[in-house]
Amino acid sequence: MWVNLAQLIRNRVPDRKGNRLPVDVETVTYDLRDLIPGAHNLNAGGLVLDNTFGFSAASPACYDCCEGIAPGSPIFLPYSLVMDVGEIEALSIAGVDSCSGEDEDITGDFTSWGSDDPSVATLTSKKAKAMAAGFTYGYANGDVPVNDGCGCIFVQSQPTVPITVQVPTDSKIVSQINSFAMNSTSSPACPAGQAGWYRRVQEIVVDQNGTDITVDGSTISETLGLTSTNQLNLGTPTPFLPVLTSGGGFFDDQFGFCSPLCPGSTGVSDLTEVFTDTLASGVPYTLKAHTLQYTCSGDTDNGQ
Amino acid sequence: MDSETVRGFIRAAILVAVAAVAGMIGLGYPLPPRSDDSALDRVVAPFSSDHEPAFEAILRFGRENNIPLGVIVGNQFCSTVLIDFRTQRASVRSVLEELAKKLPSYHWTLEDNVVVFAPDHIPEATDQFLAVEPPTYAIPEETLQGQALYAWMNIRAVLRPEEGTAVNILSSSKPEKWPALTLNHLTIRQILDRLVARGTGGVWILLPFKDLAKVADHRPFSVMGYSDNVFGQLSTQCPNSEQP
Repeated sequence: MWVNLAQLIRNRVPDRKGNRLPVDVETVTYDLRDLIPGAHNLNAGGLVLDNTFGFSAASPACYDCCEGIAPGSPIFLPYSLVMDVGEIEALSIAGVDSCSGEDEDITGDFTSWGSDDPSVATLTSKKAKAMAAGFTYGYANGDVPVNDGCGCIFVQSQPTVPITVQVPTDSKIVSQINSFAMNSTSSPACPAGQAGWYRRVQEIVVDQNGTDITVDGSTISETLGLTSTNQLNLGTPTPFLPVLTSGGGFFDDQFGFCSPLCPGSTGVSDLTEVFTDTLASGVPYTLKAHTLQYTCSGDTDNGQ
Repeated sequence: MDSETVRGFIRAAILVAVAAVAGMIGLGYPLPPRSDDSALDRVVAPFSSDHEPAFEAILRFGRENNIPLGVIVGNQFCSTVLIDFRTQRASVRSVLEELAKKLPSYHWTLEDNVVVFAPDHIPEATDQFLAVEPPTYAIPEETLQGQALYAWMNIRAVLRPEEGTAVNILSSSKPEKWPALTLNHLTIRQILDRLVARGTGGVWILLPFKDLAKVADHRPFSVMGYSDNVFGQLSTQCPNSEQP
């Protein structure tokens, strides 16, 4: 809202009781009362009285809209979201103050929130919630003050935020730490009269797009089973206790065997290894099954 | 069946026979708590438990006071719930006595610095298993659970010498590793004690079984270190004592 006292005087505009401001007024006192919640509705700097030319009042001069936001600047913070299903993330919107150049929280100027695909993620005021695997854009709508060069004007703004909802889908080997033949004198060693192979790798869980999930504190548990291919006559394997991801989503997997048929056998034993990734939210995801293939001369995980 | 397999069976049979004799001379029967061990005289902070399964309470007491524990799980151990159990500042021994009173068909003993809770009646096969003495074996530096798995591989080589063993160990990227150790002329019971009576201590848990011939199919014991980050999660799950 703009109130131009000079125009009110010059045009002889009456108030609701028919009173007019006198044309010879030199000084006035005034009260400003903002009837609309929120900032930027009434600007004291816009009230200008100019008596340079006698008693006439002049139009207000241009002024800096120091409460304005640089055009195009409203952005979501954080800039983008990578979330697990069920996760809720806080959001804010910032704009660049046109005078100071500093970021300013203008979240309160945005009154409606949503997303392009609510089945993937929903946005409500200042919050995003991940619903299912996928990608979508979140947005918010609001009127923000913008410096138009001669004061503030309000323009509609709709910043967007890209949201990826990850679902643990598979695991992959990041690096190999050790791989060697085991016998009764190696470390670790096989029982007397047996030999085999030992391998230690670092792994990470990946999402539906093959992107690393770098979240620490997820619980990785496993099931192990023998297949019908068991020429090395291995016994029923024992699944290991769960482990927590750490250091950026990593965990170590040591897999190997000892058999009385090694080192002489050319046989193969295949095991099926299935990881379950339980997120901090408590939601478990069963990852794709891997085949661990054991021979007296090496172990592979899905051929790797 | 080749000659190596036959030799393995004979070896296992001899070990089981030795174990059976050891069982008959009383290794599996209740022993009075050793009163000469000063570790049990250590005074510990007040301990309380209310509406908590005895299994969880005993493991918690062990963890809070770094007392290595062994537990042979029976039905009573999982079904008993402590109600308004409280001790003041008291010796480890007296707290253990009070806990044992809540488990009438259980007793505790101190063996190799490990407090072992066991049912008064253990299946003979379980006793025989605990008395088996596997060949000397060197366990590398590893997580405690990993070391227990290597110990199991060596035990399986005695129980089922014609079979191999697959080993799979999961760990965080920078796991707490326990020092290497050599198991030299130790029974399985002593191996379990040796594993947990180190560092900040831990607990071994054994599920009793009635058929020694089948025990090689499923590892009947697990170990947990008190400093393991999954201890709290696992110690709240009393294992199913139904075994072959």
